[in-house]
Amino acid sequence: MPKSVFDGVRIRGVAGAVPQGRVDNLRDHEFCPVEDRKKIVDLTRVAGYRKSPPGMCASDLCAAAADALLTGLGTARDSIDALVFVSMTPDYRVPSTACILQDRLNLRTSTAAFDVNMGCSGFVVGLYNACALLKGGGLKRVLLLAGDTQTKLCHDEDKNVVFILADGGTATLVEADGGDSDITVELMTDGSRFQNLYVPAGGFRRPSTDQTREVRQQADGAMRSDDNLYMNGMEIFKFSATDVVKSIAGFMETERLTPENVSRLFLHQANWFMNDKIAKKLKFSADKVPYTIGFYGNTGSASIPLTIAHHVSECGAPTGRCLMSGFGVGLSWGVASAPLDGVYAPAIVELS
Amino acid sequence: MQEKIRELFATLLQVGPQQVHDRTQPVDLERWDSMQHLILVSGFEEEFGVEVDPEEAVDMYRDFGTFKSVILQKLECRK
Repeated sequence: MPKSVFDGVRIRGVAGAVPQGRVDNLRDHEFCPVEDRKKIVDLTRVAGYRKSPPGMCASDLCAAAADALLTGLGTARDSIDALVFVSMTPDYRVPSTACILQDRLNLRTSTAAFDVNMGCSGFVVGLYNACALLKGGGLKRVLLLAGDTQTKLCHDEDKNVVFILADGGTATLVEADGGDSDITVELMTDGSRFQNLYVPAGGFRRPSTDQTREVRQQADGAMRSDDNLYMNGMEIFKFSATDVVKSIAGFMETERLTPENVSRLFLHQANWFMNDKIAKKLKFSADKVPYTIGFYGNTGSASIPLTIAHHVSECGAPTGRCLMSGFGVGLSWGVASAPLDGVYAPAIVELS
Repeated sequence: MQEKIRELFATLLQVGPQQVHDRTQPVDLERWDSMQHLILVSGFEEEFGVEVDPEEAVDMYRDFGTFKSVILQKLECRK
């Protein structure tokens, strides 16, 4: 996709929410030998993460983040023109969770609201949608909610995912302010590789049955059912190390961005080893690449805004242009750049 | 050096050195899965003080011979 440049729009604030419940990767996962657990934590740097209890959905986390954001900014709820909910884990198969969130957040009925079914690239895809609504649709304020409860997709004994994938929700307020700031977005897709990261059954192509729910040792040695999330770790590593790196590098070149003039690089929090390789390949110094993977894990579409919210609430808003890149299921990936000067972020909300 | 690489590979993977040959592929060793592979790469980086590119890490998942040759190349470049 050619890059889209949206003039006169900006990110006004970002908020994050996580479940109170904690997973300790060294203490938990008793199915895995202690020595292996230590090695996996050393590699991924995910010491632990937050896991939602039964009944807690991505929408609950996003709603908590949205409440904190709108209250903190003092933004009137009737000033929100559209709500975009990005998630792989909606409340129901029908209707769109965005409709439920419109009511729950007390937004007016003239609010446009829809879901975007995307995973780890979801924040960048959602940002593109928000900007397009502002510029193409003439709207003023879009509330972008991105969140996932991925732990509900994972089998507890699949070591490819259970040490990394986590739950979180976020809210981002994107506004048309007519100023001189702009947001630039580029999206990419390669559906030919979708089976490297997907849930094989449970949709309409292959509905859930007793057989698909049966947990068994799969070809890759991991325990899970066909209703659980499958990840071909090596193919996803390859995708991230090659396609994603090339796309970020290409985006930077055409936008005349360099590791020196970019303020921060907010990467999807895949795992530390992979992200470190990506950052080094792009020649970014470690201090420019914030991480939350160590304590929040990989929260899917929430990981970029959760990292921004954490970083801004702890260290203040970065000055200058920031880069963001999300990559994952689809396969889908995207790169965006935006100034985050003056962006508001409340402390991360913990939801019980 | 080749023998040292084989021994470290076997130790990190917790398999017998006799199970590791140039033509040994991930499919031949139950423990050589994608997660363990990245642990192996990370372990070699730490042990030998080398930096493996992401593309090289992917290539190294082909067989032990390829794994070993990438490490040897890294060590040669360091001289």
